[in-house]
This record gives sequence, structure tokens and C-alpha cells, in this order.
Amino acid sequence: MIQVILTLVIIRLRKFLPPKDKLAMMIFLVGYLFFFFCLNEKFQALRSYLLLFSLDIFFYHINRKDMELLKLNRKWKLIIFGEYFIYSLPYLALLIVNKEYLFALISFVLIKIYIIVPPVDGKIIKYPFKLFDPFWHISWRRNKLILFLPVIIFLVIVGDLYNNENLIIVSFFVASIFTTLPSFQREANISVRMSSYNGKDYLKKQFKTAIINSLFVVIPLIITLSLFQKWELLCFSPLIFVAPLINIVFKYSFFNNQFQHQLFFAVFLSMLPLGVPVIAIPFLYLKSVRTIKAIQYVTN
Amino acid sequence: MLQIDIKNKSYKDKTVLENISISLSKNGIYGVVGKNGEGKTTLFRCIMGLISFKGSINHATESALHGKIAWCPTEPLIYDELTANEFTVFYHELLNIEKIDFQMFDVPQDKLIKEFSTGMKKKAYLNAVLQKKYSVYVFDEPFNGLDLESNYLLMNYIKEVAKNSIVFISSHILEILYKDCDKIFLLKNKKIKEFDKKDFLEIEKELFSEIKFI
Repeated sequence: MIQVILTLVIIRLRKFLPPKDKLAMMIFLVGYLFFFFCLNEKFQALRSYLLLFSLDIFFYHINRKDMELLKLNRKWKLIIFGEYFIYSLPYLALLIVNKEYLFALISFVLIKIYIIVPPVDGKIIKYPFKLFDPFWHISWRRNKLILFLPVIIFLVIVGDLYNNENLIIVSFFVASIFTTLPSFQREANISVRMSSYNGKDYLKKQFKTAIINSLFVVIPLIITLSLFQKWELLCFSPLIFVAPLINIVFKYSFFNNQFQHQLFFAVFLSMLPLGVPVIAIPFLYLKSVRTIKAIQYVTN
Repeated sequence: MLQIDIKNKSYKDKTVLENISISLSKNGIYGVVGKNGEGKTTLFRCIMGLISFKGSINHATESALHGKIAWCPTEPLIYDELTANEFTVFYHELLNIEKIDFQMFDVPQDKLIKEFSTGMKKKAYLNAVLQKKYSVYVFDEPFNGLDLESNYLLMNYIKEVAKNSIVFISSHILEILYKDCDKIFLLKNKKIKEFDKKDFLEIEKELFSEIKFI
């Protein structure tokens, strides 16, 4: 069983690492540990957000395609639990080192819930999103994000009850994640090629679609903030639209390399407080238009 | 009307197409045949502008062919997590056309595409893509996976659009192409050979002359 668990962990890491490449494995491990070292350094500032890590496991769990195969083993629940336990070990260690035993326990329970609760299948939810970017429907459907939408509202209510504005800021953060997720995926080249919109117009149409679709996510949040008369925080709600728009620019700038897209977007966000990355946006915008044109007018 | 010149198309060191020249003076149905791996799909992808190649493609009336070519690959690129109706709306928005109720094939509109069979997926794809009229249509083995009735419907549609457009079809079933094609192009050893209607039977000699029966 331990062998099965280790194999599953390796399969998961294969997405990032070529097989039998020890150097890549070393770099990855050093980077991974460094990431947790940085989290440890900033633990007090980030402790409210740390439970979001378990969302990564949730999304992975509901999208995995090997469930039927795993269920052939009587101890499938234990195998999956073992896999998730190994995957989240640095994160759990981080919580325990910082004496956040309750958070560690909650994480354990959440992992168990993900495994035990049967998948919700059945009715197809019709989303109001504009379909120029089909990945809004796809992301929301695949990751069952609709189930998490009440969490955004809940955070605002609890934040108001306990006078904790940080929780309301977390709700902004969660809404940003939900609106940014679709632009991490890529349409087929043929769709870009067959589109009636040329380079710049295609990108503008993507922006427009992202704004309209984000609005559907943000409106409940705006209503809740208005009900609780959180006018100051309401003024910051347009910031939620920034992340998906910038991610679209990154998506088309690095259309052929998803890893580069994610890496540079993460670097951009982490350096945003310095203000420097903002200078890069016009250049990335032009690069995006050029990439789209290159797909639409392939030349040798 | 349509002039295709492909001087060279290679993948790394392997040349797939060389000195290909296709000159079409009128609209109609044009077949493309060849054994597996001879470059039929590569030729289509060059026409579509999906891959780079040395050469050029020129249309008499269209200055740029972007958005003017319909592409139906053997296995359609379709988003499984959308319903058939959503996929149609997606293409409707992508092609920026007026909403029309074009449904060549009857498919369950509110079911997720991932629940469809291969043939149904193809039908959903064709329903979406063919909402618009194009100058050039490229069908790569369009009849694979479709039932008899759908094949009949699709062929009738192709005959109809071929009155005003150029239609390329590849198929491994020669009889289908013999019946309706104005010309057939045979891809063999990186080159292309053109056959007019009266010479269609020569194609079989070209294709099967090397086969030895035991």
C-alpha cells in the first residue's frame, strides 16, 4: 500500500518534473522547502489564509480520473488519505511548528471530508457567464466553485460580526481566485484561428468577457457589503477585477508555455507591492496581441 | 480562385510535403486521399494556417483567409464540460454572427458533451462550426464515427455549400469521393497528384499497385 501511495505522489509531481531527472527533483525540493521557509517567516501575517491550502487538495480530488481504478483496492480511502497526507506534510509541519494545532486538526478533518463525501453529480447548473471564454463554465463546473460562493458571503458576515476586516479582505481574495481560475486554461489554437476577432480585438473581447463574468461573482459580494454598510471596503471591490484581467495578459503573453505563465504571474503578484511589475503591463499587452496575431496568421 | 503552393513542410528532419501545388479555378468538392502518414492532415493544417510551412496560399476574392475557413478535424476539439447548446453559443460568440437556429444534427442540447459518444461529439461540433458560411471548408475524414443518416445529411450539406465555396474532403472510402468530387488529389511520397473525374479509376492503380496478394 505504501508503494501505491508513493507512486501516486510521484505521478502528481510528474506534472512539474521530467522522469529520472535528479537535478530537477533537487531544484524542485529546494524551491518547495524554501517556499515553506518563507511562509514560516511570515506566518503571523498569513495564518488566516493558510486553510486555503486545503482547497488545492479539494480541487485535485474532485478532478482526479483514477478514482474507479483506486476503488478496486479495498483500502482506497486510506491510500488517498496517505497521498494527501504526504503532499500536505510540509504544510502540516508548518502549522505544528507554529503551535497552530487547531488549524492542523481542521486540515486533517477537511482532507477526510473530501475523501468521504461522495461527489455531487446530477443536475447541470446553468451559469450566466458569457461564453466567448468557455473556461468560466468549465472551471466553475469542474471545480464546483458554486459551492464555495456562499463562503465569500459568509466571510463578510463573520467579519462584520467580529469586527474583523481581515476576513472581508480574505473574501476579496477568494473572489479574485474564482475570477482568475478560468484564464489559467487555454483554448485550442483552432478557436483563436477561426475567431472573427483579430489580434487586438480578440484580446479586448477576452477582457470584456472577463469583466462581465467577474461581475456575476462580485455582485453578491457588493450587495452584502452594502447591506453591512462597509462603504470603505466597497470602494476596493474593483480591485477584484484586476487579477483576472492581468492574468489574461499573462496567458496570451506565454500562451505556449503554461508553466512560464504561472511562474511569471506569481512573480508579478509577489512583487506588486513594490510597484515595479506594473511597468511591464504595456509590454506584456503588446506581446499578447503579437501572440494572438501569430496564431491567427501563421507564417514561416 | 485558390492557389496553394507548399514548397516544403518538415517536422524536424522529416519532410512530409514537398513542392505541392494545387490550383483550383472554381468552387466545388475536392477529395484528398493517401495512406496513413502521407500528409493529408498536414496539408489541411497548412491550408488552415495552423502550422508554418515554406510557401503561400492565396484566394482570389479573400485577401486574408483568417476566419474564412471551416475546419472539421477527424477528432473534433470540443470542450467536454460544456453542454451542446453552450458549445454552439461559444462558436456563435467566437464567430461573431447573428443568432440563428442552425441544427444540422439532432443532439441533446442540455447534456454535457462528455456524456456523448464519439459520433454525437462530432455532430455537436459540426452544429456549432457550421453556423456560418465560409469561403473554404476543410473536412478531414468527416464521415468517421457518424451513422448512415448523418453521413447522408452531411454529404447533402457539403454538396450545397460547394456551390459557393471550395470544399476539401479526405476519406479512406474512395467510392464516396468518386461520386461527388470534382477532382481528387492523391498524396504519395511527399508529392501530390491530381486526378480529374474521368481519371478517378487511375487512383486505385496508383494506391494499390504495390500490394502483393498471397
